[in-house]
Amino acid sequence: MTRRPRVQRLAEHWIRRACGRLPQDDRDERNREWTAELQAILADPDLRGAARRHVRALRYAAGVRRGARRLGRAAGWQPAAASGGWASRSARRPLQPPGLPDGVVTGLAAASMWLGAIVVARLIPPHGTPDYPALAISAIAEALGAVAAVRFIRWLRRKPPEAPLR
Amino acid sequence: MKLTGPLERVLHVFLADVSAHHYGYDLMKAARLPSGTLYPMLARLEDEGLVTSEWESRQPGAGGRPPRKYYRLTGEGARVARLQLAQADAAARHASRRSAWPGTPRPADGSAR
Repeated sequence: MTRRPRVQRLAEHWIRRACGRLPQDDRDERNREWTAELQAILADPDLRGAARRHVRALRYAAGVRRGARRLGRAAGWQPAAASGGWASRSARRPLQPPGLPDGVVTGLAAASMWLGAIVVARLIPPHGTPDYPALAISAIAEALGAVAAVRFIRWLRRKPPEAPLR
Repeated sequence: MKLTGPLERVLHVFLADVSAHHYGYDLMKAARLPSGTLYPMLARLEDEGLVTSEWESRQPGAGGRPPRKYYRLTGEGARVARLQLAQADAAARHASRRSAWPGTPRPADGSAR
């Protein structure tokens, strides 16, 4: 048995998570369908080079995530109301306490990483070379901050349509 | 069915060969649509009975890949698609004729000029 490429596993993971946004009886079939398409992308002879195929596969999986959200909404499905199996794994937001807007925990993580970068910069005085550890930590913090901002904005935009359903 | 640009492209792909079966990635490439747009559209068309889907039967020579789900237009789907595309085409032609003569008032009898 051969080991699947890391990109394929990542894309499959995204697809599995996307399927958690679908009604229970739809998930397995959609997951099978979309995972099979991944293989078509990764073996697409029109795409030259593994890198292009990998990028296409990840774009496909990201698109599927968007599509699954639309499909779920169209079916009136609320992942938060689901319990067990697919739904509990996929609808779960790691480290997200209930009631907090999306992106808050990520934002706090970004802020603490920024503080960490400052501490590292103070502890390790630069000797003529760029302070790589602090730069790396601050770059990650910036990325996390951007993710937090996007999640928060999406949460703000998503909130009003959900209200009448409850 | 509201005919949008992406839907129009998908219908053109389906109508290019009505009896052909298309899988999702095939449609994505032919219609140049992202997966996030295509699948909800296919689901809607399937709900409306315009498109039907079926799973590929496993074949020994398929290289061990998992079976794919194939889509094709139903008879009703082909009829509606042709009608919608013809209407859209007529509307586009009418609009282009009007835009070619911006100052021309719209004739009451529906003729071009």
